[in-house]
Amino acid sequence: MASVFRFIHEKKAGAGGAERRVVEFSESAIVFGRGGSSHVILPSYKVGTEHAKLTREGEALVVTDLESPTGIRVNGRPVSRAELHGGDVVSLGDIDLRVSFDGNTAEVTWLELMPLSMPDGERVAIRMRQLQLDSYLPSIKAISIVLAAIGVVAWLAYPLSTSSKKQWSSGPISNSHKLIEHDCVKCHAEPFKPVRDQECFACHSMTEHAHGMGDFLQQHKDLGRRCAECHMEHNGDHGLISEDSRFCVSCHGDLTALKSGAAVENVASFDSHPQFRVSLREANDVVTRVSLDDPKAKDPTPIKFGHKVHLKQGLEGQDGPVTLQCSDCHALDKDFKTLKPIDFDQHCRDCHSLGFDARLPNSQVPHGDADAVFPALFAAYSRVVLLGEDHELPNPAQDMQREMPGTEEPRTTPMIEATGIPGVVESARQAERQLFTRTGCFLCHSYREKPEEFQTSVNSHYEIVSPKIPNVWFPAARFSHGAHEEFSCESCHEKTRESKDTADLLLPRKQLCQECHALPEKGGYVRSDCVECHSYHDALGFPAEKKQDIANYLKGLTR
Amino acid sequence: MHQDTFLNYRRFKWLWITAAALVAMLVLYVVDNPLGGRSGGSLLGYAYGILAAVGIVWLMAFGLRKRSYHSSLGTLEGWLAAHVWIGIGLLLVVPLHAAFSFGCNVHTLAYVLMVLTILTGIWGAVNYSTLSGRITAHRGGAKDELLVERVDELQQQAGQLCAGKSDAFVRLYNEFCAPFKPSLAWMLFTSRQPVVDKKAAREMLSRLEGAEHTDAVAMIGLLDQRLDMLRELAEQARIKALLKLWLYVHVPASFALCVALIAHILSVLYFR
Repeated sequence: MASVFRFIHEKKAGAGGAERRVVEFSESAIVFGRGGSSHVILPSYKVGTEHAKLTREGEALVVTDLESPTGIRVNGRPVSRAELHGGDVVSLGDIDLRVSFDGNTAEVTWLELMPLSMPDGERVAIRMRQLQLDSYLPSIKAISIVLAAIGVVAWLAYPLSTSSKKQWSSGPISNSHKLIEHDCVKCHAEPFKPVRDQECFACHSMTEHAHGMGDFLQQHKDLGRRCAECHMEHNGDHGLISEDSRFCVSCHGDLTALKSGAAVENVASFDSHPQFRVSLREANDVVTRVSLDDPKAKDPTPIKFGHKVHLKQGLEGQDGPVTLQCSDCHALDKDFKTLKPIDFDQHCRDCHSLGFDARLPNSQVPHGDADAVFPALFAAYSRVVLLGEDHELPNPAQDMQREMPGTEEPRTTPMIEATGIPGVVESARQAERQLFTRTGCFLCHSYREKPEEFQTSVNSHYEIVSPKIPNVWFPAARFSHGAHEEFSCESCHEKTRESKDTADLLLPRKQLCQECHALPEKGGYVRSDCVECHSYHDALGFPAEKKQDIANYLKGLTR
Repeated sequence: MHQDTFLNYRRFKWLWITAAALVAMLVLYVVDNPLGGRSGGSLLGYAYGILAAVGIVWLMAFGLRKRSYHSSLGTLEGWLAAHVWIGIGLLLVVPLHAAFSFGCNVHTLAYVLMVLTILTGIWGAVNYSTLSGRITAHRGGAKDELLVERVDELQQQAGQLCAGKSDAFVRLYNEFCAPFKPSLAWMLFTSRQPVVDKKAAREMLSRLEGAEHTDAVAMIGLLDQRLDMLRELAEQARIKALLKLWLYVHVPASFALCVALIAHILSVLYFR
């Protein structure tokens, strides 16, 4: 009779050798347990005396719990009764039984891995290993090697193989260079070499200072100065334009050491700054710069003007006495930095009428164009003649009397001595001569009589020496009147009230600026860095040949 | 009694050396006002960077020094003291090198790995100074091997008492004979070790009578002893694990730091 069940007990003892025992059963149900009444005796104290029953029910194989103390589990799941299939593992207490079932004989195998009969030394050794942390974790060496290998690939090999080496960037790029942030080679043309100036010039057209510096630095390669030494990138929005005076002073502190006959003096700080040099335009339009300490520092403007006279109290104005303030003539321009140029019509005409004939009190000549004076006079006299207007001519003896500003003596306005309108042209020419050489124009301006070949019948026979009043005396410095508006004009332009002559330059000297702008240790309140007044590059614009459109520019960038 | 350990070695010699160096470096850092602002690229920045790199290489050389038993380069204890204190000092040297600027890049990664290495190192040092003494305070000086053997013996003795006993007796055995299955969690969380619940034991004992009751009391005595030993084993295993666990981060992080440091130096030279 073929067996219904086959029980196999395999022992895998280390030193004791293997052992295999096979028992065949022809019954349709067998009981597993610790007690002697069981078919299969499992010598474990976790197994009940009669623990479980294995039954053949037709084609099926079923396991049933016999109210055992520790229960049964099939494939780890606790059950009280379950149908079994080949490959299932039935656990009774701490004993695992593997079932294989082909429909005929059900084979139950107990693989006893570590029987208590194992030699003590080996059992203890296994236990001791289980008490070691190492037996649960990969070795420190292996972890180290894997981690280092990941690092080599991710932090070295990968950045080297791509064009964008973002993770190697030492810091955020400045806002102006954000467009080329991922295009490292735009600036770093060659690896392991410092950023060259030519990479900067590829986009930036720096004029004067930079290009002049370029030639200069070519001759003095030992200085090793590069754009990037002052313009430090990868500091975010800070640093690309440094305001540190030491950048300037590193050369300007001792220019003579670099180049003999330097055009500018050495300067180490604002304290040792040379006296300000005012830019004076000479007659031949050559601009020379003259120190304010130099006696030659005189305003060359050909204008007859004195501040003292104009600031006197109770001047005779059109509608009575007036006292002028600085702001009556000098106003901040739209840039909030410079002052608006003086305008005759706005600032002077109220007092200084350009009238020419007492009989024509409402007629004045225009200001600003000497050649327009004669046509205006001609027109005025023509109107009288042609329109036959009846003018109440004042008594010639009763001259208009007017006090010359700044003088006590009454001035006799020279009037055209006429009892009628003689010839229009003659009257106009007479008035013209008086205006240019004695009255209106002459009061402030110098005149020149035109050479005869330039005298025509329709233009003025005189011309005004162009005053070219400079509006900015220090064109290379950045000064803002607006930034200093809390101070009275005269706290800087000190001797204005005493000035009688146009030639007086009423500009503040550096000592005055230094009362506030000085190093803290010298009692300064406000900054005195070079860039506070000076600009470095004179950027005059971008050359057309370097311009490109945005689309192409962006296309050229590798992302 | 004054006893030298690796931390207070020669009255904290290395702590004072490191602290003095850090104070000097901090003063130099504050006084220094380089052209273009403080950065890793300034003269002082470079100097501190080189110092930190040399420091890291030296700290890693400790791994070699502790294996060379015949070295004449100072005592191992001295090396360990210097390793700990100089290592902690690097936590400040590197930010001084970088002028406290950090970002999402390989440079800061190197710093993060260094911090990870140093923090796990501190954890290890703390473990050593607080736990290592408890290893030797072993019951009667018995070794773990003896405890393991005794645990199995006690289990066997208790098991032998089960022979021919009722299921209720065996159930009592199973209740209090928690399996000895060491695992990582078992090791690291000693507090979860089972104990004999005296109340439950008394209740189960009351159901047994006669000889079975007497044997059961004896068995529970054996099993209680066994569980005590298991707890002791677990505690010892936990201490030994904690004395090693930090190394699983400390050493790999230090090697990763080495790679990141090479990447940092290479990239800085690459983009000059």
